[in-house]
This record gives sequence, C-alpha cells and structure tokens, in this order.
Amino acid sequence: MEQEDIRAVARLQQIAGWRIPSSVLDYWATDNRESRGFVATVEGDVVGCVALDTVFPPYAEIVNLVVDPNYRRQGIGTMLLRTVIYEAECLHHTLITLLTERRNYAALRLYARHCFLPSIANPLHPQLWLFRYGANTPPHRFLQQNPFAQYRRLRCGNRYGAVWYTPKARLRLCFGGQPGQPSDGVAPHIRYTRILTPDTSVCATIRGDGRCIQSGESASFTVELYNSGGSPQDVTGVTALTHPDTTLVTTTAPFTLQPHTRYRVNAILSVHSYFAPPPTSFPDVLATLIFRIGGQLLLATAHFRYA
Amino acid sequence: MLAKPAEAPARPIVHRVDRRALKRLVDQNRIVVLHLFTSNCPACHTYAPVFYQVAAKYGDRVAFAELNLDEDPVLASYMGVQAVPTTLFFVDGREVHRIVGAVAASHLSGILDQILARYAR
Repeated sequence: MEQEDIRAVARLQQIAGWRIPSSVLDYWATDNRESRGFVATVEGDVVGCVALDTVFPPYAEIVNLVVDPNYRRQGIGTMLLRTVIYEAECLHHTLITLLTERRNYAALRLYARHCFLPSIANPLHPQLWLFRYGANTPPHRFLQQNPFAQYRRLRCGNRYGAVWYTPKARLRLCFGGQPGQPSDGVAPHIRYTRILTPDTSVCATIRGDGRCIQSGESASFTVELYNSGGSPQDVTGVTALTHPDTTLVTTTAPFTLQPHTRYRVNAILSVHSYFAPPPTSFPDVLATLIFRIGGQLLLATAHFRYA
Repeated sequence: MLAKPAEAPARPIVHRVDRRALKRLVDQNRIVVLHLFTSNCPACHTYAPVFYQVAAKYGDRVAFAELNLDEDPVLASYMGVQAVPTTLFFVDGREVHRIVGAVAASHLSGILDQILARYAR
C-alpha cells in the first residue's frame, strides 16, 4: 500500500461501514515492521484492501479485509487473505487472529477455507475472534500427530477455550480476550495449554500478569508447569517471544519435570523507554513462552496493559 | 581462660552482588565471572552447584559473583541478557565471553582455562 492509495482505501473502508482515522491509514502506508496495508488493484483502481499487524510474535492480526462490492466473487478476497497469511508466516507470526461478524457468512466461509477456527465467541455478541494455528504452535504440532482430532470450542461465562480431542489424546487451550474490540478490552491470546497423551500429561499456565506497565519499566510473571503424568518429562527447549523493543528474560532448557510436581518458571519483561504500541492494536504488551516437551509444544502468553 | 580471638570471616567463594557491588568487584579484580539467574528458574537451580564447584577450583585466581535478576530486572536489558542462567566473563572491565544456559563443569573450566592462558599475567 502506498500513500496515493490512502483515499481509495478510506473509501473502501467506508463502504464496509468503518471509519478509519487518517493517522491509521498513514501508518499502514508507511514502511514499518508492525503494521502494513495491502491493496488489490484492477487496471490501476484499488478494489480491495487489508492490513496486517505483526506487533507481538507469534501473534499477527488481520485487520479490515474489504473488497469493492462490484468486484466480489472473483477471488480478490482470497488473494488478499493468502497474501497476508504468507506475509505473517514469513515473519514467523504463525498465530494469526482476526475479528469478524457472526452473521457475515461469506467472510466466515472464506476464513474457514483458510483454516481459521472460531475461538473467542459468545452467542450474545455479534462479533467473534478466529484463530489460525500455523507452524510451531501447539495445535499444529498436535494435529500432525493426531490428524483426525475433532475440534470443539469451549465457553464458561466470560472464559473462552478450545479443545482438540481423539479417544487417546487431548489438547486444551484457554484464551485471554473477549469477543469484539471494546476500548477497555484485551488482545486475544493463549493463556493456558494442556496436553494429554498416553506419554505426556503436562500443562502450562500464566500467573502474576495483568498489571499496568510503562515504557522504561519492568514486570515479572510466572509460568506454572505441572506434570500430572506418571513419568518425568524433559523440557528440551524454551522460546521467549515478545516485541523487539522489549526484553524478556526467562529460563533456558534443558530441565526435567518430575511427576506430580509444580514448577514455577520466572520471566522478567522489561519495556524499553522507546517502545510505543502502534495505533491500530490494543494497548497491551504480550510476552509468550513456548516450551518443547518431548514431541509436544506448550504455549502460554502473559498480558500487561500498556499505560 | 583467655577468650579465643574471633576468626576473620571466610572469604566467600561466590560474591552475591547487586549492580553497585558488581561494579566494585570488576574494578578490583582483573578477571570476574558473573552468573545471572532468577529465583524460579529450574535450569538455574541445576547450574548453581556446577558454578560453585568451578568457583572453588579457580577462586584463588578469578573472582566469582552471582546476581539475581529478580532484584534488578533492568540490568538484563542493559547487558543484553535474554535467558537465564547466563555466565558472563569480564577481563579488565570488559565482557570477553558469555555462556547462555546450564553447562557442564568441564565446559566452564575449559573456557576459564582459555581466558587465564590468554589474559593472566
């Protein structure tokens, strides 16, 4: 997307019923690592647009995919969606999220074809968050080993989750966030992962996050690992992911989880003084830890409010 | 009966330091080995006895120190540390090497032997 496309993109966004501030449109058109816009053109005219936010790895958000009503049913939306998925995965942001309307069936069909699963949804709310679980995420790894696992969305009040299951194995995720995009809302993220297979029975839970953090400050949080199986489990890798303008310090591998023992792994998040969240995303700071345990992955993301 | 004279406190093998004490230690000693850890870090708990074992072996020639990053989290970003345990080797106040992760005593000794061979007067 270039500066000369801004007016056409604003027109398309208005057709879809969204009023995007000019500062955000400018931000999409500038060359930055956190947010970028893409346009589809037919004979020089902009007929579709989409934006991609890649702020906190491994998360990426697809924002405001619109196709001109006169050019729909021609594969333009598919092409834009494939472009942003490819772009996000090239940047190793493999957990892709997007917000859509519950009754926008055409969009839901398009996203379902590209492996987006309804994740944070409530029948009382008109909008829902979809997640796409790419390479090096727990569901992707689990489905490689259990390709016929069934998917089910879970909800208990304001708590949202998902489960993949076979008669012998189960992967459960618990999400942070809410349907829609309220001003005091939280960016969608995974707070808890539990894997139950004949060999492995472990879970990772975030503790001690949720506070406010400012530029130049530090905060610590804990990931609680629990091995509920009968045999020791070796943690062979730990990956810490967050924004490049922050530092996340945590443990290195290897270490062993003894049966029926809780381990609290400490992590320290320091936000550099020059950090500034982009105007398009939630005012949050996310820090993700991925643990490689045997052949499985456990992921837990801590959330801090940027104030 | 004469009172027994109080014994001088034994010099610690590994100095528990904060940022200021680390600066002092680096100023006073030519070669300093610093172990950075956090309290709830399983790999750090595994590595600490190894570090103490090597410190007991080389303590007469090299100063050993440990620093809890929970007490000074900003130091991690100053030093570019992204995982604990991390072992930093300082010679004349400059970092010359670092090891990320829990390593065996032989590995740590090998690095120290190389540093001593190169920098010890």
